[in-house]
Amino acid sequence: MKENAKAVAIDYPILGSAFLLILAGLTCLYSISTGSERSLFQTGFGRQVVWFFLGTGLIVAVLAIPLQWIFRGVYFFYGLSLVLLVLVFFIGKEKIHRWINVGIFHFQPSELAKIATLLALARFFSKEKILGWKRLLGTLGLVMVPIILIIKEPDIGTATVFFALWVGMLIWAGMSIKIALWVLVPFLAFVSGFHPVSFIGFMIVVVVLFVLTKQKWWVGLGVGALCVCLGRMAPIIWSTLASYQQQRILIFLGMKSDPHGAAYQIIQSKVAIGSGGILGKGFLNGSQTQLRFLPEQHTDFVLSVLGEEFGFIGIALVMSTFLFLFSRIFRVAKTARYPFASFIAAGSVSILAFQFLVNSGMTVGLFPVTGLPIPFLSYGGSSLFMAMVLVGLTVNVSSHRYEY
Amino acid sequence: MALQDTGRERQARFLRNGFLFLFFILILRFFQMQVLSGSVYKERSDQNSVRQIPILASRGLILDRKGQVLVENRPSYSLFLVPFDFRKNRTDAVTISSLLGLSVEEMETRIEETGGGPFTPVRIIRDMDFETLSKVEENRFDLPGVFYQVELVRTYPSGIRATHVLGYPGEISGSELESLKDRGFSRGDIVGKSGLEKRYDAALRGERGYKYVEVDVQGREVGNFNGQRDILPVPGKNLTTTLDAELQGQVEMLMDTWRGAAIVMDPRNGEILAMVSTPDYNLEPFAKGLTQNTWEQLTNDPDKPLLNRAIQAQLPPGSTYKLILTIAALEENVITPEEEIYCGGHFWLGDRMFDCWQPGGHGNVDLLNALKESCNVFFYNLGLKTGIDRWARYGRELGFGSATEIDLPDEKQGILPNRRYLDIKYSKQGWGKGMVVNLSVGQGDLLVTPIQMVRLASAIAMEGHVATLHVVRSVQEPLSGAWGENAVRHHSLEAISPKTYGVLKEGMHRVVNASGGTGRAAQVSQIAVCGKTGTAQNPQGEPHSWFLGFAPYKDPMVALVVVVENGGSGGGLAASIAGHILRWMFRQGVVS
Repeated sequence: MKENAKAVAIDYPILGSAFLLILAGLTCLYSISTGSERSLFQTGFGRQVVWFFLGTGLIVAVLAIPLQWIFRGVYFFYGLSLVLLVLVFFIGKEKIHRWINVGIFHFQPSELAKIATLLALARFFSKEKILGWKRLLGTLGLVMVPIILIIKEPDIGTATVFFALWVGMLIWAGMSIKIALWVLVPFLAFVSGFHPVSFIGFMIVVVVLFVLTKQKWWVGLGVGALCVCLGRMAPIIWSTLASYQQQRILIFLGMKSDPHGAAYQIIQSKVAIGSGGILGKGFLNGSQTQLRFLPEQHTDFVLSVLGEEFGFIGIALVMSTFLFLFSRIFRVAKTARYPFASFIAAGSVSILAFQFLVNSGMTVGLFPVTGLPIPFLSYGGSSLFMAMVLVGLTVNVSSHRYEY
Repeated sequence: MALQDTGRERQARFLRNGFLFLFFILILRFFQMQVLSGSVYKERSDQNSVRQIPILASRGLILDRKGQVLVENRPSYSLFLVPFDFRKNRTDAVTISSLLGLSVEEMETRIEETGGGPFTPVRIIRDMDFETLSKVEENRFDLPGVFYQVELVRTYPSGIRATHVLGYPGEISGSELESLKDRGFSRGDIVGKSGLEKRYDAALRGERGYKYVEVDVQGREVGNFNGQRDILPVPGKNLTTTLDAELQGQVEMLMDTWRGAAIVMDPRNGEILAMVSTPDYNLEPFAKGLTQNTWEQLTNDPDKPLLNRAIQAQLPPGSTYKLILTIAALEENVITPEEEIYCGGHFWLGDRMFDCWQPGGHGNVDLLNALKESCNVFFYNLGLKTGIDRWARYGRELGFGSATEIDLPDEKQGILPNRRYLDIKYSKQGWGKGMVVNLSVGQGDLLVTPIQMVRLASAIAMEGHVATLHVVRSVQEPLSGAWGENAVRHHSLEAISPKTYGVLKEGMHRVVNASGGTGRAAQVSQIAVCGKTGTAQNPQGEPHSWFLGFAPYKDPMVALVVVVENGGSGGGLAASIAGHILRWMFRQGVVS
């Protein structure tokens, strides 16, 4: 990096749209929190306001750190996040190891690990211009360690975010789309492996495709072996899932009726959103929201509060803000000349866009209930900090994007 | 091999278009739901909304060994309140509170404790009396947000108490909920808080069912919801315990005026026949949920009635622990049964004097007579010869310093000091032979629980064949009637030879039956009772009175322990209570 290169002013459109989204989230949380006569700080709204101010401090801090320092500290930071992920198993609460309790705040190390893995991948990818098999396996290793630890927690939803991050950055690294699809094959084999019939069927399709596309025999053999390994792993992992997780997947796939009311959440969410109509029922007037028909509405289903009280107009506004934010970050990725910076922006948009798609898909019944929060809007300190730090990083990258 | 295409443009376009495609689908979906089908959803939301109402399963019964019901359920009325309605209007709140005889503040506290949102009903009163119920019914329309529901509460029809063994269930607390939320627990659930109710909560609880009802915007039920079928609760499983209700009642009567514990068991299979801890408390009021007042009374009572002394009291064992020293000394060939030691009433260690309880001394005593008369000087000498390491090793072998793992919650382990423990507590130079002399007669840092002592009695009775102690014999599915036996593990204490047990038993027989024995109050005519008394000095005042024993001498069928805190000498109170228990048992043919 040359210091004399032209610096760009702070990217206010990115910052501004992120803050707008956070405000929208706070509005929904306020609506949920009314009627409760607890002191303001004890409500979800009150706490989120505190996280918001602390997160703003984080953004300022991230902006102040020179990109070069971040570059140097990347692997240390990655190691630290892994240590924390291991630590949850020792100091976490029984059975489910997702949080570390720091006084008033349940800290979720997996959110920190998202940032750390993103930075580690960015540095790894930015070193050379040519993407080879060795590089590919190296990055696979980098994402698999946190993925396995997080699956053990167990928190499958969050683990998929890392996978999405990896695929996004691979493609950004210039991997040909055709080959990217072949890399995906073993993972699809894993998914199909949950049932023997689907697995055999999938493998036949793979073999036929291989023959048709005239792949080299050793590539075929390698990918084939990987497919079999991962496919065999699926039943084992299935048996380690908590029963409520198995339920949710089965219910979503329509393989099971609804014995304990897990589909109830989706039904209620759809009624809330649908009944909002075009203009919504108005702030604090959503009967579904106010009557607490919706469980988890402050975390996973915050979008259905928005949909009910502000209608399609509200949804469209928030969604276009997301679209605008993502396109700005994408632009930073495209224009940044320093590869490390470009990969940071590309990874950030991968994480944020993936969570956005999965969460909103869930609230309208297009995806299973995964427990992934929607960035900026959902209640939760760790998740909000994660999203705000990503914004801070991108804005930092953006102001130096013409440097090299 | 390079995996790259030329240039980044294609990849960027691919990512962007992929995202835009999914984004477009989402927008379409929202458009379809909110704009095209909005009116359909709006109707569903305006007119009726589905509310899921949990139905609690009935808890399993608890029976004694002969099938007599110790704990069952009776229907009662619980009063619920929707906080939002209660808080909306101050005059309504005052009306409600005056009608129920509870202050507004008390009800606010209840709502606070339960947590949950303003629309989650809060259980204000469990097991409402008939008078309140009729008042609520009369004034139904002046009480917005108030409703009642039939719920099952515990009742105890057998006439015995068994307070600490049975335990009580209660509404799940905030902290319990926090740690159990992911296992399907939710607010308002009833969970076991102590005793068998806690230990076997998973079996007793059953599975919650759900009722789906449609409610209007005011939250009033308008009818059943047909779209979703109700899920019936699965009733909890029944427990058949090893307790003998009659015997339990008898022991409770005998212990009633004292503070202490008594445990009666079958040494052949580890079954607990009776377990009493006094003072106890009445379980019946727990069905209503305790008022702050009674709870504070129980926790602040200096006699600690909430403590299950049988498994949680950690007391110095006094002379009863001489049995362990005897085992260690015989096994390590420190002494033969014939060897005599002179007791002049005192024992000098340097310039420190230790007393025997008999001021005049016992004269020349051998091991059997020393056990019979519980001669301290004999055991002071024996302790110094055996040494702390061997003494501690055999104590550990017989289960001291660790839990017996009986199927009751929150068992204490006691303290079995060894060299390392004393080095840490007093530093290497801070303790010496004086400590060993004290430990030899069961004083000093040694602490045991009554359940550990009855396990010792049963191990000696069965000459080392020990069965895991347990209170529940089987768990029964209420619907299918299928039984699951509680697995009983047997194991042998290999380290101790039959010869040693022979000497111990002979000594314990003399304690109760020979002239000059300290435990003669435990005699039963025509039955050879074996036992050992203990009089444990303690800083709280009068010594604790201990008796442990088994009967008959050959083919033991019952082992027991009695301890009375600050009850004076072991030969007096504890042995006489044990005698009453044994005489009653053999007369009634409880064992034969």
